[in-house]
Amino acid sequence: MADYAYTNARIRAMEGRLLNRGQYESLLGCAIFDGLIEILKRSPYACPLEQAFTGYGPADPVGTVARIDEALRRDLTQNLTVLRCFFSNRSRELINRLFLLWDVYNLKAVLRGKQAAAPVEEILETTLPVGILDDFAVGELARAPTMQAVAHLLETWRHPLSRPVSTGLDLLGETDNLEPLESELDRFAVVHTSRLVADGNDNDRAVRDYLLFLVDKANLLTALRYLAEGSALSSIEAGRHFLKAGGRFTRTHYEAVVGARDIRDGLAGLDATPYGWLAGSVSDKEHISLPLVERKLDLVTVRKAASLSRPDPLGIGLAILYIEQKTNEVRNIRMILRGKALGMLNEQIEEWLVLWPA
Amino acid sequence: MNLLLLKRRSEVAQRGLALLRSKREALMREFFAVMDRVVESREQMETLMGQALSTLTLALSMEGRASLRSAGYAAKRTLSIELTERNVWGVRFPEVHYGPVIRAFDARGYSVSGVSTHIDETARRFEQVLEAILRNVSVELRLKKLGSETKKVTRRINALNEVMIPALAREIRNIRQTLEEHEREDLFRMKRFKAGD
Repeated sequence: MADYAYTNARIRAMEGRLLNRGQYESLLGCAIFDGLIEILKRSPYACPLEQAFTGYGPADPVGTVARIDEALRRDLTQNLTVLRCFFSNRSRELINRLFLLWDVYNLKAVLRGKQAAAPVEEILETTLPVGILDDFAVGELARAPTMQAVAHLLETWRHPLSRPVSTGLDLLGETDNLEPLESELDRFAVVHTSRLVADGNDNDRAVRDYLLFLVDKANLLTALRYLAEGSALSSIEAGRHFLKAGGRFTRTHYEAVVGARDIRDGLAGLDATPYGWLAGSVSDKEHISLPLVERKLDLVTVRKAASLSRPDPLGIGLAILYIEQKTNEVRNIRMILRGKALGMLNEQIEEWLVLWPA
Repeated sequence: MNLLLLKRRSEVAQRGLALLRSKREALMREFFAVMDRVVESREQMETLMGQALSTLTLALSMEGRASLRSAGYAAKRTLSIELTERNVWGVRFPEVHYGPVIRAFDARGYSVSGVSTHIDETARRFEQVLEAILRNVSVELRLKKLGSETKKVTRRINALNEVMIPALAREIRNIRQTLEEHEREDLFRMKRFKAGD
């Protein structure tokens, strides 16, 4: 408990710096693009925005949006890094397991960049070094000459992801396709982490619950992707991408969705699962797009994180909620800025916003 | 001798003119048929591009520039395009041949569960745009070639019609006039000779 008393007080303070409903309404109500930036400059984003615009003259809205994008990426990286630093001892171990997902993301970004022979600076711009692999470690990985060298560095650092990277590299063989390596990393991250926290205390269970929800979300979206594409596949073939971690969306549910006629039919078949509400949430749409379904699931992810923080206000749940709220806030701001820059109507923009508390 | 030669050349020029006129008519017919297809595929391409751009905007908003660029690195590939030539009406048309452009969602080089559907959707839309562009290239090249060929044929028709044939006609007329003049002189001389007797 003592582990979390200090950290949660700090997280509560960080939570207070998230945009509130009034600030979102000001952003949405702003008709002039420059006005949006002025509103953001009066928010906690003032500092990253100042940094992003230093040395740049007036630019077109598209160039400005790109600079704001970079500012948001840096701000997110900084905030999540700070959050991880609040934890110590056992709680640090637990948060590191959660941040292993970010390590996977960064590692994939580095390996993709290496495969495409991209310059180091460009590779680093695609990363969010917030996990055990901090900006220094990610920089070292990006500067490694080959993918094999990346694997060797991870082994030297005894990073948990060194094993799946080595296994994945063996799977690659002579091909350029990184899919087997990336799938190996995904499987390892969720399965390994959820197993590690399987039999622990309430905080371990919270992390496990959250991870399993993310696994369910990924499996559900994969099954729906088959339907969106109209791929006639056997359940064995389709099961290749199923992540086995013991979530509530089981392999049987997954196969049932893959076997449906179309997305609407697949969603209707979710009645027996905890995701039965999804069909109702998009029933008014003439055409159901997967990005829209994913956004609906994003809202539920924030709700899930909020539900994890309620039973124990001094547990790890608050950190999980903050991570979700912060990443979601960045998405919302990007959506408003791009939507306004392209002259989208407020109703169109709002369809893609996830505002929490709702 | 010269008159006969010029007459033959004039006949050949007239026949060539008729042939070129029918070739131009055929080319024009083909041109308008291809133009309809070009307009149609241009419109289709613009619709696809519009859809792809709005999907890209959404993906940039939801996933950010960093994730999108990273996925772009993974999805990078070499698409081989082959150009061949086909001969129609004596005109060589280039044809574009290419392999499948639109990939399955699990064949884009990144893991399915690690990439959001926004990125997937953007990749699919832009692959559709690329396929439409490649499909359009053959048709537009054909239209361009037909246009330049029609221009060339029109120039030849004009050269025959306005320069060569009138020049030949003029020369034939001059020779004829000269010959007639000689004939009249001969006749006059013969008459005077007869009267002198």
